[in-house]
Amino acid sequence: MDFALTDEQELLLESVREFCDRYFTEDIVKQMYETHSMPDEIAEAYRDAGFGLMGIPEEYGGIPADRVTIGLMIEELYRRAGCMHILYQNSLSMFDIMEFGTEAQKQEAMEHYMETGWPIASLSISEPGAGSDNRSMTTVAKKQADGTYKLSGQKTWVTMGAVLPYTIVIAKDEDPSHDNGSMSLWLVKMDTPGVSTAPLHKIGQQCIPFCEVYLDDVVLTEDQRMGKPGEGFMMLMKNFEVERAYIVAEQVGLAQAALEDAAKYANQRIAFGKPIARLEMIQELLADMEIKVQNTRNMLYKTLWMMDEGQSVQLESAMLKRYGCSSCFEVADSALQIYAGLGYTTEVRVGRLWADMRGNMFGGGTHEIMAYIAGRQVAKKYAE
Amino acid sequence: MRIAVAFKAVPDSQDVQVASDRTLDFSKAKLTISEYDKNAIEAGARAAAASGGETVAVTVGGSDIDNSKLKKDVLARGMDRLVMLADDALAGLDAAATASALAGALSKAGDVDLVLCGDGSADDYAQQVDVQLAEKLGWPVVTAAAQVEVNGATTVIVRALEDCTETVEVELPAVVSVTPDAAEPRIPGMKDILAAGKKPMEVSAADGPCERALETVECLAPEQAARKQEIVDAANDGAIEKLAAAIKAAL
Amino acid sequence: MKALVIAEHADVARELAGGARGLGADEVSLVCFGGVVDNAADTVLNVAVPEGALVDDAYLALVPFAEQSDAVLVEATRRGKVIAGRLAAKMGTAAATATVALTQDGARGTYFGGVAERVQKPAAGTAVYLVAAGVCDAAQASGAGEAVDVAWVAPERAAKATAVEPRERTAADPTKSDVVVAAGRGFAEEADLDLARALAEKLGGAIACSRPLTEGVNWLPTELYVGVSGLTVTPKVYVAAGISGQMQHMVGANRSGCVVAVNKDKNAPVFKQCDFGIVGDVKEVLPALTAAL
Repeated sequence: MDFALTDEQELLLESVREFCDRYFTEDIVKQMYETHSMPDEIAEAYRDAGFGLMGIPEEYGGIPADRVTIGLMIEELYRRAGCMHILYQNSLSMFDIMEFGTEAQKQEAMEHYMETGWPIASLSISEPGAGSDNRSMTTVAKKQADGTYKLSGQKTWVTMGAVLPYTIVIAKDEDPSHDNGSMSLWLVKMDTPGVSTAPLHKIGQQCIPFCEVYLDDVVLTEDQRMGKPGEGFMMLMKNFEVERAYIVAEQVGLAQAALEDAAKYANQRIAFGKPIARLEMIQELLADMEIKVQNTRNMLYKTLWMMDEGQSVQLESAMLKRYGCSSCFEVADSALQIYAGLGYTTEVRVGRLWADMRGNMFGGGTHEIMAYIAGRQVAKKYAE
Repeated sequence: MRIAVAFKAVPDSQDVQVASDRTLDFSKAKLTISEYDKNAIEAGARAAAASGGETVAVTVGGSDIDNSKLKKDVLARGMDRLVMLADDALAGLDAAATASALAGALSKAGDVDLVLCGDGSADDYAQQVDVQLAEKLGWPVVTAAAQVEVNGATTVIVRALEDCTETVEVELPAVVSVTPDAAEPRIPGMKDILAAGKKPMEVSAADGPCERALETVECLAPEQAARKQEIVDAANDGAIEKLAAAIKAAL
Repeated sequence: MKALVIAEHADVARELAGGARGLGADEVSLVCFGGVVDNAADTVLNVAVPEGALVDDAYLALVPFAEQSDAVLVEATRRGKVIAGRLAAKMGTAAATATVALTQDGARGTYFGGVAERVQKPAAGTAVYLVAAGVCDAAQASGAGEAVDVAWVAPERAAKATAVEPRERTAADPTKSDVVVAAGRGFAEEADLDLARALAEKLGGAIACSRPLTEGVNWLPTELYVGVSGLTVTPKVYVAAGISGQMQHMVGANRSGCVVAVNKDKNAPVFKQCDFGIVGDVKEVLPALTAAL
């Protein structure tokens, strides 16, 4: 087994560090959390460095990259920035459009991205009554006599929903009942009559605003559909696996940042006449934090490597999300404990990392649903 | 139009450690492009893009600079090709010896119209190689260039000097060294990085022995001046007054 | 021994002439491109720089004088560095940089951004030293200053100066002040620099800054930047306001008499390198301090 990075991967990580150091300064990060946004300048620089084009097909101006390399890039983007910025999540909706969209949708999405540095669309998936239980969603698109469709329903936790010009909506075809598994993806323009939003306020990740999206008899035309009718859910599921892995890449990057801060602080903070890093109970915390970070990282890159090899990762991606997001959150929690009172203030960033990382224990699929997916797979794997 | 950019590979200063005997320990430091040379590389890449010319990066140093990552790093920053002399005979040279070796490397690069240098190297920061190189080549040199505009055979440079801003015209070929303000280095993307490995790299040994004009008598970390380190919180009663009194006492 | 001093500023010329005596020179020649320097050297060389020529190119007229000298001391300005480099190259040597000290042991300069100090001297022949302002003692300078006119020698292919715009010194010179108030990244807005100016004014001192305030944001001119590639200052009191205390900056300030640090981050490295530190925002501390003085 070769764990070494290639020259190219190392240089990419150096570029990511240069980018983060230049743009995510302490003042800018503070401002992002206060204003619930990110300066356009950063989105543009991210585009110019080509980071946002990684994994987009070459014929659309993208840069082909394997998933291990993309994972490495994401981890470093979050470790070095030390904040839960939007940059990587931006790519997720772009991936969906490039994979499932029509030619016209792909062209428009790339033009918009190259012009602004921002993705064209948010993702409207969850509903107040249907998060991990996607089948319970009630948003529905019904065909009208004139050949158009009418879309109705409510979506929630839509990241950047009120900011980006479009949203990708998953809706049931014709019939909103639980038994209907036929769904489609629609690319809906936010300024279409019948589309409205209401802000939601977060306890962490404040620099990435999310909102509710209301869809009241929104008229859609066939060319707004992404991919084949009826297969919307399967399409989303297909990308869920890699998305989960990328969320863990963010999470382990943030955990590494928290670990580095805490270890540095433990070396400086004097209690009982010596640095607290010399106290055994602090050493135990630090050791377990490092173990969790390294374990998560090993699972992450193994899973991404398997995907690159074309292997099924239904089990691995669910285990990774479940283990990685919670273990890394525990790292942040221990970091906060090492900082104690100081960590509970806004003077240091560890509390912010802690609140940001808590969100990744349900964003992209809850901890519990991951156990459900993984458990079934484990039972199947060892069935006689 | 061919623009050469001279750069230096130095140990990454963040990983240079001070040993207990105050000597410097470079064993954990990886080689990297000296920080201000990145500005020269960027200035060269931009000037070549504007004039449709070719860029060639040149460097000399110990055999360890023949490092695949370092070479790709330079070529990912807008250079078309690389000429490198890597030889232990070329390790730790002074400015005169460096300039002689660089002149040799340049002769392998083909006819060059303009040589760009950075503001100073991360280790020596003597700002001497540019001048010494110009003397070896018999060319004019313009240092402290905050703006460089190549107009055909003439280059117009705005120099940021201590007491004035001086506009200078120089006929090429010439050596020009740029300040960090001249061009902010690009952040190489994956496309640049992947392309770098496919660009021509010419690595050879030293042409002959290199004599050093300077000898190093000592090189040690300075002993820290003992400071009182009396720290107070601004919120404490009388903190400001105490500080004011300390300043008055020191004057 | 014979020494040649080359400087751009009269006060530094005097320091270098003193430094030449410190090296044991019994015969000192001096050329200064900025002002008259009396009673500092045995001989004063007058080099008139023709209109449109670069001061840098004065080296060619000085080659014979350098070749006759055992040591050439050049003020470490941008132009001085070109002159020193050209002369050193002509004589087959390299200039040694003295940013910290110049003694008979050699030139002591910072190495790797101040991580170390290095002493270098030439193995043989004429020594060429690049000497920073403040390194040598002007008090040792002496001499009748017999004037000698030196004819300009133009290089075969010379660069032409088409315009020179003096940079207005809006502020006092930090290298010559008893008090320096240096501003760093802890200043959130350019307007807050007035707080540093007010404190400097109250103390009759100069303001200075760390690199981030000159590079990129351009809040202050580069001539006020203290650090390894900028100024070295030696005031009685150095106030580092909103400066974290990176080595690259502190190396330019750590020979100050008393170092005072103001920073809102109590873990900032500057607090390990100061005599008096106050943990607080520059926006609150500086006006209060100015008032308390």
